[in-house]
Amino acid sequence: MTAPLLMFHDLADYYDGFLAEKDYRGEAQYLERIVRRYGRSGGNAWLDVGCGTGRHLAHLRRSFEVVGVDASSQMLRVARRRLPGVRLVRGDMRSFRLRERFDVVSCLFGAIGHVSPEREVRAALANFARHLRPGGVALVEPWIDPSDFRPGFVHLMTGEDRGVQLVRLSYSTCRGNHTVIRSHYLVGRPRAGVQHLQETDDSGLLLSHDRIEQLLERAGLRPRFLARGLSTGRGLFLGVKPA
Amino acid sequence: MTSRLRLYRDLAKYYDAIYEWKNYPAEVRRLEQIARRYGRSGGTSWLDVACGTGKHLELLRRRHDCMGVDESPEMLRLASRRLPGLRLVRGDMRSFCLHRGFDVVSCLFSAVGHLTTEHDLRRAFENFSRHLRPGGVAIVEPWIAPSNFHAGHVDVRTYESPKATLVRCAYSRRHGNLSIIHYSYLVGVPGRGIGFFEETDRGLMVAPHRLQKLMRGAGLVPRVLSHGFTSDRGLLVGVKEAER
Repeated sequence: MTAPLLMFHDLADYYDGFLAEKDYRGEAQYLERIVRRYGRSGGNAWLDVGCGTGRHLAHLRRSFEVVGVDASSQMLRVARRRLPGVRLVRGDMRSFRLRERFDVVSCLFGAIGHVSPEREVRAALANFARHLRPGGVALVEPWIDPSDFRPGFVHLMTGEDRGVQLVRLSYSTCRGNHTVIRSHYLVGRPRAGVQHLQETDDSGLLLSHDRIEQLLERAGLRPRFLARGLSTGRGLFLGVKPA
Repeated sequence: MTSRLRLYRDLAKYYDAIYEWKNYPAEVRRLEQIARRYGRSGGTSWLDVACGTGKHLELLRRRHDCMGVDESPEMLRLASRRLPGLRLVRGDMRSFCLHRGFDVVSCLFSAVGHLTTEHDLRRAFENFSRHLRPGGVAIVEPWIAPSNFHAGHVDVRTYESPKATLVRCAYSRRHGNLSIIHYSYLVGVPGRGIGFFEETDRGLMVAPHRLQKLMRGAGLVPRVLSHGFTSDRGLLVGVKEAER
């Protein structure tokens, strides 16, 4: 299992409230364009690994046959409410096994960054490759590039979900090539009170772009980096499985 | 001491950031209008009780001869930086003694709400009255009336600057006419880390007619202005009777 972070477990019901501003529809449209351009497998089966509450899938399912995988049962419970009829499977990105093969395997929003050390990242990428058809394409939105990482950075997220006020304040440092993110949460529920939660996530692995491309290659995928990625501004890695 | 809130002590340096939404120029314009309209003492001296970091005084001093009183040394330190040359005195609003009268005594932003009994409130009003010249005017921004208070309410305020990110989450409860507000603070400082603080602020909620009665008992002719600075709180004006 990857790190059991509060956001994906105890606070899973509020995850979307924290990310109300994220443009999932615009991201899905962009990803579809990339797939049309680089995919060579001809089908429309899409697997989203680390699908979370299913907000990308909600858009992708209009044009694709979609399946989602996530390590958190709480996130999947939210996704199931959103995506009736869509197959959603609990699994670890390094080890899940599905019978079918896909034209696209996506792993977005830095989800890969919760996997470490490097050999585990390699295992995850190999697993993505295993689930691709020849000519299919893996789309990996990376965690932070080491040269972009600013230690000592404070990041505030706020949100609101059905009257519940949400705050996350996080502080990033690094230890070796791992990011260490200390997060404090305030969850304010009317007529109930304010809850304070905190955690430290030291699972994030800082991998250079070159290294990620090497790992994709080693997983049997032809790598390419697109500087224009999604809303994180971290770009997007492609790995095309040779026909 | 009326209040030992951390907001006035170790968190004092964040006070102005937390209340950055407050429109001090508009408040001061209104205060001066009220003083002109109700004051009959003819002078320009102004005492601000619970002056805090001095943001009202900073504007009032342009047209008035000002002094400030506050019980928190941390707040007074910030005020003295803002107000060079202005006399600032540490004191409790119920008992400070300056041995002189003023044309206006103000006590704003519900500072009187930190008092938790009517007896203390009466003492504060009597002390304001004692520091007014005949015909002078007390302007008090009261704490919320019991009928306007919403228990079970969550209020989140955030402030972001390159130096610090602040979050304050307030949760309100009540016990009879006592408001109980639980504050959770997160303070994130780049390069330093995040601090979490909490505290509970208790305040006495007094209905407008009771406030007027207390003012009258302190020798002030009271008047309630329903439109004040902070929603639902109004303003209380008391004119000191001429000597009999």
